[in-house]
Amino acid sequence: MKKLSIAMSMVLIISVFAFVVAFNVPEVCEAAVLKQGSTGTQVKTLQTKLKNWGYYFGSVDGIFGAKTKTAVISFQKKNGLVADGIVGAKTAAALGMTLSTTPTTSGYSTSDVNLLARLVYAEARGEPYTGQVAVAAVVLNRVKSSSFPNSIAGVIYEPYAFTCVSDGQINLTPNSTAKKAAQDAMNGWDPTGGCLYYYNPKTATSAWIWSRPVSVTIGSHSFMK
Amino acid sequence: MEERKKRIALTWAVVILSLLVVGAAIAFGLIFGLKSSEPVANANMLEAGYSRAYYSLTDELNDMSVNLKKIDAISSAKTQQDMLYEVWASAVKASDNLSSLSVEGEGSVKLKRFVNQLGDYSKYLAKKSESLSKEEKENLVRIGDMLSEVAVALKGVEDELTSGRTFMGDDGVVEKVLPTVFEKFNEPSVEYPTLIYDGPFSDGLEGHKARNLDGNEFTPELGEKKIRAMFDLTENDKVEFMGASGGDLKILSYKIDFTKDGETFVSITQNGGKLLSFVRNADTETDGGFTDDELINKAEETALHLGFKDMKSVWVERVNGVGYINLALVDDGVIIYPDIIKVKLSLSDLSVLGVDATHYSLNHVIRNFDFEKIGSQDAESVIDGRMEIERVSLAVIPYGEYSERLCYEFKGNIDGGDYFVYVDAQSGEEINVLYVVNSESGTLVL
Repeated sequence: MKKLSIAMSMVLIISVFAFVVAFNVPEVCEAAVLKQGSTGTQVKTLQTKLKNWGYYFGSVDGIFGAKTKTAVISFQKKNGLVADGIVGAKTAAALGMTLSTTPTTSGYSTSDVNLLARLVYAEARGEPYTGQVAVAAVVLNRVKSSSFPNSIAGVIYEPYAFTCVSDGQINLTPNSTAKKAAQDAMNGWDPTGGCLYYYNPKTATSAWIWSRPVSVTIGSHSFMK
Repeated sequence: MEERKKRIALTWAVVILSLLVVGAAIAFGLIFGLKSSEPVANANMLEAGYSRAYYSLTDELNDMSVNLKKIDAISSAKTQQDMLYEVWASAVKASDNLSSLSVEGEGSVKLKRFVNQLGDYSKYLAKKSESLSKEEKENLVRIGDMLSEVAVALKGVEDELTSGRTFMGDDGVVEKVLPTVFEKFNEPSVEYPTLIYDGPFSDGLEGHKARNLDGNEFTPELGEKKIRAMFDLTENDKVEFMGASGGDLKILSYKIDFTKDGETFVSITQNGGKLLSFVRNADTETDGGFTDDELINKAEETALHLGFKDMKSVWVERVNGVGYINLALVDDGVIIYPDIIKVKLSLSDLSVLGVDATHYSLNHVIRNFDFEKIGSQDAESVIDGRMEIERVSLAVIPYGEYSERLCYEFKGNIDGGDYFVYVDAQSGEEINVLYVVNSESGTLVL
């Protein structure tokens, strides 16, 4: 069983690496640092990750003490990082963590903006900027519509509503462009003029959606009411 | 002797072979058992999720249809109100369950809309706290009948489930059975009652037209000319017409390729060529250290350049290197909040990264409000006595989905918290209170 869990941790670590290599998580460039003496929720996240992967055996208390430092050092050694016991940008990336220094900003829930940014990144990261704002605006138009759930999370996680939820891409870390696009939509920008649907004519499979008249096309997405 | 040795060797061989077979079987079972038990458990959990949504939905639809029938017989306003709130709560749950079932097709969309509208309508009637009119009762009874039809149709699916059919899979209930059940609500024979009331999901809103759509019809060429003037474009900047959208509100869309600043998409109304919105992204890493006044001046200048006069800043917010400035129309000292324009500025170099003028372009008309019937001192007597008032002004605010009200806007402070309180200038009624949330990098009204 222990072997199995070690094997699973290896798989996890490898997939984290694959993720970091493939998508080069841009946010970690702006990351702060976690080191001995640090406290807070980010330290808790760090401890939980290290514990799950078998590096840390202490309690998850949000306090970066000697035990956490030892765990970080062994994680760094195992993963070919500089073993200094400090979680900087590279170690954070290898851990799949984002150490953001940006303070929380707005009156509405920041978790809503973050979730929306994740959807934008997963669904439209190759699209023109206006197209990314448009995808975020469609989510917000759905929240306001009587035919959809009335919260951002409800709309995004409605089964089969967005392919990025089914294929897991919703869990990728969004880049700063996706975050800005989500922020613009939250502040009222809607390049679609109230659309509730969009599809990519090249890849769409759902038949009934084609019957709706297209309002506007931005990049490779057609938007409909 | 030889014979015995042979038999012993054979027995050993059989034992070892059996052990190997058993060992292999156990290993095989462990490997594949472990591997496959997790997906099976996950699939069972999803199946259970669908079952929960299906059974709860059937229950809620039944409850609603029974409660609506009961309302028909209740004459006390208070009891009607209690029952209407119950219908609202059931509708919220039913809508949630419908979303969880995720059935594709127009019928499912219409049913979801209908259930949400019923919840909204019930809440509106409950809030009115008057006895229901004959027409309202008739509407509710008709809705109750429709819901019981849905509930019966859904109940029919249970036979499929008890005979072992699952929700998931290519031949599952979600894919093959439920679309047919819901498609019944997309047939012309289904007559949905028309519900017009002052709520967000009212049928009245579908026919609600923009108020400000006069003006010449713009051809794509004329639109391009207007956009070139709005953005002071040079001949090198490319403008491409992307198409016109149909419907009541016709919109012309263009793509601009700025020589320096990349591309953006701009939309204008076909009638009058009024700007709706545009937005673009820029690198805003370095902070230019601009003051709020500089942001406000730039935003007001931009609005004026685009043809929006008498716009005054009502809100400034700074997020991730971007400043959002909200401007409202100020007419003869009255702040007209429904005619709002938002300007997005780069905090690095004050360049304009976007304008959203949709509300102004579709809403703006000259308003003729009756003069305020009550004075500001009478209005002040309505608000909480602890409030230290900093400023009083007259303002028009949106009220419900259709109307606007002329109000006294009191900006003030209670126990260190900033509030905006709105008192109707005709009726003297307190109709809205906003609380200001201060965060580290900006201020927003909630």
